[in-house]
Amino acid sequence: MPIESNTMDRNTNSLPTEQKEKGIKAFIKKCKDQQALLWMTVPFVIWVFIFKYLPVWGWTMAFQNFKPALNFSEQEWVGLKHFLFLFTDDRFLGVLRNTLAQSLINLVLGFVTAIALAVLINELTNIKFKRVVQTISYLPHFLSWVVAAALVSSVLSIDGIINDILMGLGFIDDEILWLGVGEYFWGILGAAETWKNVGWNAIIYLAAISMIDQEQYEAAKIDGASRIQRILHITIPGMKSVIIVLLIMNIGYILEAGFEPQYLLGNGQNVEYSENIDVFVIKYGISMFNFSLATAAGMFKTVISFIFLIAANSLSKKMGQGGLY
Amino acid sequence: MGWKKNAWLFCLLAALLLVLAACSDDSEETGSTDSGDDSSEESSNEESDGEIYTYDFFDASGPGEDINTAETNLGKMFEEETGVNFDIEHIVGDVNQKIGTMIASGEYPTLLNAEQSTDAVIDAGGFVALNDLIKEHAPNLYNMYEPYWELMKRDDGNIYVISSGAPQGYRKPANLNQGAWWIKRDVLKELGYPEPKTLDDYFNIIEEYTAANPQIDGADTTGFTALTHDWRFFALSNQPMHLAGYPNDGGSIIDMETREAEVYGDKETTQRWLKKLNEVNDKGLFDQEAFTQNYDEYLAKITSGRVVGFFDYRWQVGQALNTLEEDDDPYNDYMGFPIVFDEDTKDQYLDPIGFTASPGMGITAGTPEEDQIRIIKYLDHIAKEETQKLITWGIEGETYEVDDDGRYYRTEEQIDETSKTEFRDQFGFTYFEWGWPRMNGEYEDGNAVEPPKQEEVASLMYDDGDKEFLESYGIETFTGLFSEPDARPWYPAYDAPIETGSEAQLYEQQLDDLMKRKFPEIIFADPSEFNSQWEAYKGEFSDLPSDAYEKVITEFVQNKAKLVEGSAE
Amino acid sequence: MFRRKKASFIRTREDILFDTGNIIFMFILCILMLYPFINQIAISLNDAADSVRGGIYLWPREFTWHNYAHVFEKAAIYQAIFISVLRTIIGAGVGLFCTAMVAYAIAQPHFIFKKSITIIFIMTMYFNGGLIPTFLLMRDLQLIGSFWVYILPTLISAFNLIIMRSFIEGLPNSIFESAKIDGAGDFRIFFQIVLPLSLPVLATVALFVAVFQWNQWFDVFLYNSSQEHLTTLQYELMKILQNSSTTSSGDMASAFANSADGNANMVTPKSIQATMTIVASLPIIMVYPFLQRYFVKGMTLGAVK
Repeated sequence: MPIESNTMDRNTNSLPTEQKEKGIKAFIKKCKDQQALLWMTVPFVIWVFIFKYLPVWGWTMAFQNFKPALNFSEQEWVGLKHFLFLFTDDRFLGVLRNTLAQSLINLVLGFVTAIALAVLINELTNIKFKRVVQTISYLPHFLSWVVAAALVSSVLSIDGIINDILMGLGFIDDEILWLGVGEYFWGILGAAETWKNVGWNAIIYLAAISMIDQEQYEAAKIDGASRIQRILHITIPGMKSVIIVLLIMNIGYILEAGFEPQYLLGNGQNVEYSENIDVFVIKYGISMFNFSLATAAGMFKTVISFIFLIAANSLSKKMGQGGLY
Repeated sequence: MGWKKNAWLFCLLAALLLVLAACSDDSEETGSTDSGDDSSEESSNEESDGEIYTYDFFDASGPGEDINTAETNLGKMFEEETGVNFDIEHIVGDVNQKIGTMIASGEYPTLLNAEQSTDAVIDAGGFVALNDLIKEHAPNLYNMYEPYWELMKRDDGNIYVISSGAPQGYRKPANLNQGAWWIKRDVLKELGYPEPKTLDDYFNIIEEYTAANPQIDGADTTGFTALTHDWRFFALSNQPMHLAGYPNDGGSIIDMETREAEVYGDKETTQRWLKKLNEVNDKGLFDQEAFTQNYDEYLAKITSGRVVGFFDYRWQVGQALNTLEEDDDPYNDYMGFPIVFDEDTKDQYLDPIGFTASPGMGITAGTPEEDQIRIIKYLDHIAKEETQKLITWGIEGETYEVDDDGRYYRTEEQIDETSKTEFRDQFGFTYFEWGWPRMNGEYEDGNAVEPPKQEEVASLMYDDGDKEFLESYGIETFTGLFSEPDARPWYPAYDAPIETGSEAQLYEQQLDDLMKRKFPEIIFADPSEFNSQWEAYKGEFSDLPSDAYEKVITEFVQNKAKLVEGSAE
Repeated sequence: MFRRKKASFIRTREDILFDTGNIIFMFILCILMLYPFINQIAISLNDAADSVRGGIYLWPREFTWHNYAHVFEKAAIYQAIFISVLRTIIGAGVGLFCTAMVAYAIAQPHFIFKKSITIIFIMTMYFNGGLIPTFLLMRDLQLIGSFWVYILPTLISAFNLIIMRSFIEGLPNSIFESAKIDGAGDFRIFFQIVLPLSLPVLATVALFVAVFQWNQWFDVFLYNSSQEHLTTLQYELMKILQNSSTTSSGDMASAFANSADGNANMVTPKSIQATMTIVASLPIIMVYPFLQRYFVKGMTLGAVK
């Protein structure tokens, strides 16, 4: 039997057997057969319902002027007021655009750089150097955004190192106030996110690479495959299933562009590019004791997430790459 | 098929949930075995030998070390006299979230200062009414707050919280802690100690000095910088109010006669201020990084000594100015001036006497009556004048001395000792000097309530560099150039409670966003475009619900002024 | 060993070029990644008041241990470290085991609830009920004031679950087939075959959970802020940081600024922030190098079949 690593194939394999048996009896019999698997999962399904699904009653807040002091029955119901406030604000489209742009840039840059870094680290031949690089590369992940943003800001200041280098190389004649020009903000944010998280994001790909059978490399070498060819034909395909799974999950996070760096690096001069949904919600929701608006925005994000997730998953399945579920 | 399967799964889960709910008592029991420690902690109140009572005090007014009050010298003394001590827990993180969870669960600490969420706790019925409690059991407390009694009442006539700082007479501070227009002392010395009075004077000094000294210590001179980062933006938008001769009332100016609030963000005062900045920017004197630098960078810039002048509140630049004062160069320090638009305007930079009724500490609902009485007696003990002197000055002979005229002072050693964090923590100043029932101003014997406001203490703090400038300007203290504040019984207007979700609340946030976005454009615009930029900003401003905000503030101001003046009679 | 010898034997010009370029790139990368840490170390070892001036890069200007002394002088910090370590170990251990077990089950193609359970978990990544409902749930479960409020609510992260599942699905199917033929049950296959074969992903997920647990302070803030014995390092550091911003700019500090040693013992938010970064991150950074060896082992075991 050929080795199957693809979820799709396995799913389709199991379909015909399923169709043969019908009815409650068959179902019970199956449950009995798979007793062990049920023991492994059912307790945790109960757990997930209690800890994750039960608190969802809180979504009702989105339709109330929620006051924590009042009982559920005493709350004032306001219908879609908070959604309307969100969607009819003049800035909403701009805020949505910023969210999408920031998170798309993060998504693309995050994936490409992390995969590239994992591949390059894997190509290092000296084991010790490899480990040192691995450890150092994930250090910035442990800086809080407060510290990281301060650093980014000082590097980009008028007498900061970026201006020094560009002036020295003759690319620019005058210092540029990088954070003062809105158009640069997405790029700066993408670069900062990449710098901070590339090493951390690469870990999972390194794990994937380490599960690739070393015999494949030996065989390719004997066939005379070059370094680049081995990367393209063995390493990258070896990571494929992880990449796809991560990609689909992250597409679901399309409206989660984060808020700390935007909040910390944002200012009046770049606000038209820095303000995203989360920042907006902090300003007009949480900091104003308005839990209802925050909940409404959360619901909106969840709906969008599901739409993107389902779309990405079915697209992936259509392309024969398997899916999340 | 797939759907059917899911339906089965959900049925199964529902059944399991029911089972779980039915036997949840058991599971809860196992859960609580781990938290055994905390239940014993709470019950220690009762099982102690009837002498000492410990209560929880949650203080959201600011961060701090969590201790039991009896671990400090002051707290120990109070415990001995009243039999009560408090486990203090300070806020870490967001106040709204923390208080929100308390309200939602209805579980409060016994004594609570809920800071900006105070109104929410009151709305939730989280505090007990203190009126009768104070009148019956706390004569000293009643005495101290009597002038403000009506002010402390809520709409329902009840008093729920006791705020700190009940003014008794005015005492001009010796050192600036409020807004001022700062100029580097080096500059003042070089230009022969000029005394700027108007905005034009001020920027002329900056212009003159910068032209003569394009560089300071090898770095380009920054003529004028500003703090605009995040919530600190008001350090650039408050100036029109101050320049027009008003104290910090927030986003509006209160007319002295009619006591009507008027927002000034779209008025001529703001236009004049921005116009000046626009001109200054055109001359290359305005810091190009003013809108992009963060707080740390701003502080570092000022500390570097490259900045000729800036406007800020002393408490915001404390870190930078303290660092400069500590080093050996007496000229690399800043001196503050009260600048106004026109020479004949009277400056009002120093805070007038003001009583803020909220936030403050309150006893929470569900506290048994005998505990309420014990706590209020404790607060009453603190409200005694001798206790007030203990929490502000300390112990005579140890932390302060009294001269033959009955004036209090501190020796240099005592000043050193009482400014050390370790000493202040151990003695209890850190925990008691603010937040509890406290008076402001001066004691009946004429001594200042706060030692730094006592001339005898302040003058000892000045070094030779300070004295040179005090002499050159012919003043005793650095507030000498500043006018005494006029009486504004409503002060501060920014204390007006603004209802959650109201238009007024929305206005504040929207205006903040608008100014942050448009001010840079206006200031950095070519002078020929200033008018069109200003008009564009004004156009957007007119869409904001400023009427709603003015209405809320006016109502607050008039009501408060009436109560203050009414109870003064 | 064998592989490396052989590889160096047949190194082509392309290989040399690639390796040199790669090593140079890695050096630059290391500088970029290391600099902020060295910078934070320098600031944490520099006099707090002096740090306000800025301009500290690689080396402290006015050396002092005071910032560290300030952080470690509080007795609570030691209990906090203990709880942090405890929750990291227990959280990672229990979390890893539970995640792996569910992941194994939903990786089985014939499992009848494979799809439903997968979806139930995936959905949890994209919503949450909000702060207050969650708080009330914890209260009703009597988890407030207990250590388990750190462990139970975050027992399984759907993200980690899916990662783990896709790794397990990547294992050669023949292994499962032959084990089943030998009569092994699911529990035996899980413990004896899947766990040992999945070391790289187990190490990865362990790291994710450990770092998450270590960095958490919000649950302490919400549920256990009044429980001194359950405080954690991050929470205590947060306290010290917030404290420093009031003491350094507050009324009294400025009023006494001119007195002789008034500020010698001062801390500033900037210096505390830097000290905190180092104190909080060094221990957890150390975890990775220990887990790294599992990244190399992985498939050598798998090849045995």
